[in-house]
Amino acid sequence: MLVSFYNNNMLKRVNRETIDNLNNEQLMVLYANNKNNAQRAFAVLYERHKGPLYRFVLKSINNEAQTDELFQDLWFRIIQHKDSFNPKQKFTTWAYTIARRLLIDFYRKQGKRFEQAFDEAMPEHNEEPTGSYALPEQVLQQKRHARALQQAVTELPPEQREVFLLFHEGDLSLQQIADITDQPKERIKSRYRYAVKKLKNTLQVLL
Amino acid sequence: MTHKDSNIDQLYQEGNKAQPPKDIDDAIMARAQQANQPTRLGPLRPWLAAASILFAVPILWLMLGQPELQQARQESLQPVPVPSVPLSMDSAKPDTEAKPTPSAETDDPQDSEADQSKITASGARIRYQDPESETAGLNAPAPAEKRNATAEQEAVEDNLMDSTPASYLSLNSEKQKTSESMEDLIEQLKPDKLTETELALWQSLEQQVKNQQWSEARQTLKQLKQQHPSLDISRLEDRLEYLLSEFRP
Repeated sequence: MLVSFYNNNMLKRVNRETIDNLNNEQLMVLYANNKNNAQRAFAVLYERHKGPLYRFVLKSINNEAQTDELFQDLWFRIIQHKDSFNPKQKFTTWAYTIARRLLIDFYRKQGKRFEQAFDEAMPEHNEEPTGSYALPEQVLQQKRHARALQQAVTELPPEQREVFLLFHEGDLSLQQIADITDQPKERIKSRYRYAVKKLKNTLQVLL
Repeated sequence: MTHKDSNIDQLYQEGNKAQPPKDIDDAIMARAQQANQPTRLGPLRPWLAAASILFAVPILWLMLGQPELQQARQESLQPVPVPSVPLSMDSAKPDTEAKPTPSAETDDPQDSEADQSKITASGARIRYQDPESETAGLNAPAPAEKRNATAEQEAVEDNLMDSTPASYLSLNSEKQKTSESMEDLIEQLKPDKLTETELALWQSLEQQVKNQQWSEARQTLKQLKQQHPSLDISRLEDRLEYLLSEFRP
């Protein structure tokens, strides 16, 4: 009996470790099939993607209160449609497609077009270093550059900003972005190139 | 250029550490757990479906196995025509080719020969109807048939209690037709030669019949018979008696 108890605990421990090592698609399938450790699989998946998805929404609508609401709605939709997830598809592509559609719906309710929404200046979203006098000069300069970049990103044209956010926040490939936005890959590549060029120019001027 | 610009990426990630609030994390995790919890009726669903089928199928089977129920239901939805009241006493010959009153049932001649009587279904009641009484409205009611006709008339009056205003109109028109037939009868029996008193009485009789004043008409008839004993007005008397019994106010 003692051996059996030991084996069960070992199995649980191995399963937990295995879950942590699963890729996004496997985690989603595990959660959707409601097998053992489904909740754990979802927790791992959520932990991996909550930050990038939250920031993608936040930088898209420039409003923290509405970002919370949209972000929650996004994950509720992922949960609701878990059975329709195709394991052959990348989880990130699926999740960011849902996020993008939610944003488009949001802009429509606001009476704006998707492109117009990006034209609004983003409020300064920073974590002001309290007691910065204690930090070394190099770190302070790095922070200043980072803030300047955040500001520069908000000033990008809407299409370029969308590609930049999906590329850096969602960690998506250009091909995945092309699939999500339903645009040719070359056009996406071109948008990203222009975005980076513009950011570098802006940073040079600001700094 | 498909790779990230390392400097830009590093700088971007530096000032980009926003995370969702803790309460949203908890709400999403709770929803995820709730979505995978089985519902209370979940395991019972197949049994509930089987039980409902077991309950519904025998009932449908019983209903389909009894066509009488469906036929009766269809018939009960059809309106029943009001039976006709005897119209004239002057038709000397019985109309043997008279068609029976249409009823809710389809009358097959062979069936009507086999059945001595039939039941007419109506929305209000099921009433026994003697097949002979169907043609009574076209024949002068003989003393033996009078009971049948009276019963039929009573049925008409009973129907008035729960029928539509159209039935009232129908009865009024029957009365109108009856007075008209009496006027014809008076016209037929009118003697060629009458004294002035008899002529006055005859004219008042005509007027009373026209106004459906049956009691007064009977009195006038008695006076006429006293004045002119050879006058053959027995048919008029019979008819008046019948009308008095039928259309008593």
